[in-house]
Amino acid sequence: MNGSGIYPVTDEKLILEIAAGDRGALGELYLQTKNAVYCFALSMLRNMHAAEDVMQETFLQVWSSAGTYVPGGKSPLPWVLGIARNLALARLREDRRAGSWLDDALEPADPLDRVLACENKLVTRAVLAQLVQEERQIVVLHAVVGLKHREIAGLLGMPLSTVLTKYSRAIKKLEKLVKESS
Amino acid sequence: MKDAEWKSRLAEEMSDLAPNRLEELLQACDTRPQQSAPAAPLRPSSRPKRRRWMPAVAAAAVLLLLVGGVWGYCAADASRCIVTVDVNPSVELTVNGFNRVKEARAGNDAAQALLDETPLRGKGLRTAMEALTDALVEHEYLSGVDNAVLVSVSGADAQRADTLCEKTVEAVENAAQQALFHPAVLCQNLLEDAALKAEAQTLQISEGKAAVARVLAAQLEDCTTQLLGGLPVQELLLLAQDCGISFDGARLFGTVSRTGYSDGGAAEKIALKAAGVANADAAALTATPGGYDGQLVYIVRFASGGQSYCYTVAARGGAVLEQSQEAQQQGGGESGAPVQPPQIPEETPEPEVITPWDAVRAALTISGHVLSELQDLDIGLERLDGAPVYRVSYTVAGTRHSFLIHADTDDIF
Repeated sequence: MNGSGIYPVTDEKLILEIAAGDRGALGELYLQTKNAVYCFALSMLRNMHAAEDVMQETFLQVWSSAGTYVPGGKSPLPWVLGIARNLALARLREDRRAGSWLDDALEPADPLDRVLACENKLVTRAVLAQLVQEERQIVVLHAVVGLKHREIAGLLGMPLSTVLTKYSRAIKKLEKLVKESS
Repeated sequence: MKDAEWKSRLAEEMSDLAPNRLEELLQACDTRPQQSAPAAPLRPSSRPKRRRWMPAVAAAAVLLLLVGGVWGYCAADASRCIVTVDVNPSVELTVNGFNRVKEARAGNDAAQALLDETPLRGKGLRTAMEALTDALVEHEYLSGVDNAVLVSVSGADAQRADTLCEKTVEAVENAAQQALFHPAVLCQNLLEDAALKAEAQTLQISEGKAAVARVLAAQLEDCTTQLLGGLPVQELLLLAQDCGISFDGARLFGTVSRTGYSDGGAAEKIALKAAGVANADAAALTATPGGYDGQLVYIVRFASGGQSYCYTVAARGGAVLEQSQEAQQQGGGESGAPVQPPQIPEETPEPEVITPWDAVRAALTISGHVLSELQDLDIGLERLDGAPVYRVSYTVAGTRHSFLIHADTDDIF
């Protein structure tokens, strides 16, 4: 972890304490990383309620499966985000089966649309509304969570070159979109 | 805005989005047992008696599963077929039954350079194809102007070939979409053919490309597999598209870009102009497609004023590459020796004309734009004060840009 995002480097000792049943450690991990997990889930789902559900379920799974975590001398954040990704993918599959709109377009009545408009989050809005799913994930993981491109490639199962290309294309798209809307 | 500024602005905007529901989480933990927690004590009274033969049966079942799994894996791994991707680099991917690339082999030097940079071995077919397409776009082999890809599957039955084609096309389209252009992909299933293999080896091209050249040569006058095998894939597919030639067991996804290419009609006009003959004075005017020095050309033939003319016009750029003129035979007499044309056409384009792609590159160098930004790219060859020029026009961020590029020197007018 390079710490270029807004999150402190998380210690894997916390996971070991959680595995030992320490709820205080779970609370500490939650406060440190909930926004990273939430933003990542939001980049996949583009729905605030769904992202919130995924965030809560992620930490519940961290609680129940912390015993299976294998320490490797690195930050456990990618492990936590991997759980979030699996849950978000499952949610997308469910919603597709149910014919929901989650991954296709932002509905006008979506609370996400209203909140972002009210708070004038221009770049966030451009990221969520205009980039395709993989670009959204890569931009959020790099810019917001602070993962390195190599870590993102590992997490998303993509070649490093693809991650770099998609990131640079996404940034160009954002420049264009923000220029147009401002 | 610089990359660091983007990052900090986005990080700032998204720093407080998540709600705090820690209390709920901690309460929910009560309902969720931990996997590492010690197991609950067993209740010996309610537990059924352990049967002695159970471990043996379980071990046998595990062994059976293991043998079956290993056998299944070996069978799937051994079931290999070959997916060849031709753009101009030619890459041969050996794919196992799990659609994983077991070997990536370069068919030419350009492909070797790509594979050195982008290793594909061990990747899933879709991931490998996305990475390969990204590399082809990055090295400007693929773009909105040169958008043709030939995918040939061999060693697979029809159903598996269809599946591999679909995966490949999806991956190419997905990667091309990121680069903001639409590809044209011809997918074909090749059957075992020793003659085709030998022909491909002789021409030093892939079997897939040789198969396409062979079908085209069979249907086009004065064309041979050898002549057409030297053409880029873009031009082979354009030729097939223009002449309405289809390939058995093949499917074309998308439309081959003809930006910068003349058709037969345009080639006729170029030849007549070069000969100084008016359209109304030309008899038996024909334009036949063919290959010349590794590029697609039109052979334009016509007769006028007792002379028969033959012009070779490059389809890309419209340059006259070769011309000849003979006195027409009369009453079965001997044909006249080739003679020089009565007048050197003033506006004969120079043979060393740059390609439309070079013109686009020159325009991008001046404007500072990048290819992925361009929309509605349009390239046309015209004349300005007698000199051939490319007019390159495109839209970036809603603004239309237009450049005149000298077709001989790539200078900007």
